[in-house]
Amino acid sequence: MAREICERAERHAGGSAIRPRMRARLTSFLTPVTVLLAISLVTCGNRPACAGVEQPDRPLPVRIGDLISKTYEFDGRLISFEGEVIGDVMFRGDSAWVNVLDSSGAIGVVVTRDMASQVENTGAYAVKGDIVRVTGVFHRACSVHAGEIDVHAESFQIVRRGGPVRHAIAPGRIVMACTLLGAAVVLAYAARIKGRLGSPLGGSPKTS
Amino acid sequence: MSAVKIARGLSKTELLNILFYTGKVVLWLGALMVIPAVVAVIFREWAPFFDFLIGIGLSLCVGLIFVLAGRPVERGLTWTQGFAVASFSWIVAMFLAAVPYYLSGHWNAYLDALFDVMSGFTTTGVVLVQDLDHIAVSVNAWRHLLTYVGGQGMVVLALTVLSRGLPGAFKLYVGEAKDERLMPSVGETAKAIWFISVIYLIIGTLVLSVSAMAIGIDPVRALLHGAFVFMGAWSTGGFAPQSQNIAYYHSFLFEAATVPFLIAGSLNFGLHYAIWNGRRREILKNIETQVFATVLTILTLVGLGATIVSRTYDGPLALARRVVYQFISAQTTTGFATIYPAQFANEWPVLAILAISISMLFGASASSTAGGFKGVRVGMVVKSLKHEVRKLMSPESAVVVEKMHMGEDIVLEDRNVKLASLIILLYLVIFTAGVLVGVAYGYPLPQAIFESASVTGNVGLSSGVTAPSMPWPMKVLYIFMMWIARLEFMSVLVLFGLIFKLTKK
Repeated sequence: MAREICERAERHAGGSAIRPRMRARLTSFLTPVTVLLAISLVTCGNRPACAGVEQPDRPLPVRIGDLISKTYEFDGRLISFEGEVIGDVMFRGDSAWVNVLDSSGAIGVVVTRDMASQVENTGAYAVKGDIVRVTGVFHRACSVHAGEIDVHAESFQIVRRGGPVRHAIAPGRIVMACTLLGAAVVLAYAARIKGRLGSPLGGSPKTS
Repeated sequence: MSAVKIARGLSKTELLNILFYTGKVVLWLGALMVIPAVVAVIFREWAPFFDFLIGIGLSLCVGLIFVLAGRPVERGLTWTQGFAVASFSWIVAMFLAAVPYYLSGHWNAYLDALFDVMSGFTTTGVVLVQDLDHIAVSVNAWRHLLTYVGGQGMVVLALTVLSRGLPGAFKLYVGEAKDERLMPSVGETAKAIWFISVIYLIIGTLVLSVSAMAIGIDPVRALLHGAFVFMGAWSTGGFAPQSQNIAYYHSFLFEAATVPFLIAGSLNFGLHYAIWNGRRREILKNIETQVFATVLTILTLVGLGATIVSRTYDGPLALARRVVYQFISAQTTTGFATIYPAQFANEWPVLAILAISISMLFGASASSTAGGFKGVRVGMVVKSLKHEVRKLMSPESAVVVEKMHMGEDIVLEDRNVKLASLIILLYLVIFTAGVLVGVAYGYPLPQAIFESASVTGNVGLSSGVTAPSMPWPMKVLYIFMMWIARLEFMSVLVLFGLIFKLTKK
């Protein structure tokens, strides 16, 4: 590789031959760099591969945040957690993706069509999503779903139905909004009189 | 009149001129806030609607007070004033744009809201927002609109109208770290930038909305997802409507659909304009696209090699979606992610972390929505190095000329190389400051490097350092880093120089 670079450098120099000493220096510099890079590439991996983990009979109760932060610990294990279905239920063929959120984070869960059809409310601004209990196998880098971090649900139960959420308007904010907009109108009028607004937002104002 | 008095008089005139034009830019922010207010009405989100009215009212009041207190001068803006207006406008706009954020209750503190606004404006994409999955559509629209406008530039937006009858408008334009002159006048250039961006907005929203429908999202929500994700992609901001970012969609199709737009957003507006005018070969000849492709290829290969050896992912599709996508996102300085921040920290080998950090620092093209060193500067420094080697290898009497292509063939000049090297050095200085502060607060070195590179390059990928629980001095430092890096130092340094000059008197 180092020799190739030297040869390319020669060609770029318009065919003039590189002095032998310089060529030797370039080679002696580039060869160890290439070797070091190759060694670092080979030795950088120090993490265990996702090994098959013996399944306990009972699912391990977890929080979603723990699954995300301790992926190697829970990889391939039967786990169970509770959370709110958020966003969209995305049907794909015989299965569907639902995203489930608890106080520590959100994760994608692969469910069957029948399981997904139970969901009536998905969490958003104006809706509290259905609370579900998911029991399934956690995958750090799912081999079926191109390396996704996911949970393949074995059971998917609705624990509590969600529904519409009302957001109250604070009267103080209405007053504040009206006051500020009123003040802005007065200031705009003053600016117009002083000739500071040539056109509403641009144009040529009076200059000094 | 004594020299001191003249100097005082000049400073006051300067200050009033800066105040006036900052006020004009701020008025535009108030006008911009009407869009999310309308979205709030459409979706019947009345509490956020009044929050936006407060934001509009406050922005208009502050803008008008500046306009009234300031006074424009006939000769327009000097370089110093143009740069100061650009950098000062961003700071004032940050404080005002954060009002609806804070009032929504999704940010723990006003500082967190300021952080996210600056992250949006600078198209960085790191966030401190809480419970994003339950945020109002209108507030989400505001988040994405801020990053979309920030990509093109707040000042560029104002210049589309403001430049009429404003001598020195080009200085304001350059102050926002853009120097590509697509048209003879700055106003026309600003309009051309917005024209290109709006055309992409229509195409991008359409493509991503159809993709979202294809993966099982209902049409109305698909349209919202399409528009929001497009704005995050094109602006290279990396904001997404859900807390899981692009991992929310669990779809290769959707991820693939975002890639052309995040690459398009990272290209120089001059290049877009050349392609628009039929000069398609320019994309292959341009130094920035060459540097972008070369750096991206090399670093992605290093990242792939490291993750293959460490057996982080199995199979080519997993590697494409979990590694290559992250590298494209990093190099374009977008910050879209298909993995969680904790996965970078806990699963990726250190070599891959370092490779993606370098990728984030290098960034994409100048005069684009992207951040980082920029391809043209890296290209210049590499060409200069090549030039020096060629000179060494040539006979002493030979005149060696090095050229690079960016729209046209340009002879490499020492002055330009010096400036490019200086800017890269300044990027490295703030990057190092970010790393040192991160380490001082107890974060592991690879994470501190990753996060600092992400903030310096205005990228937005996170390894988990950026969180509401992060110490406040780090939040302030990151805000400063995002701001100074996005404006490419000069405007901010000029503003500080001016403040120093005023306080000294």
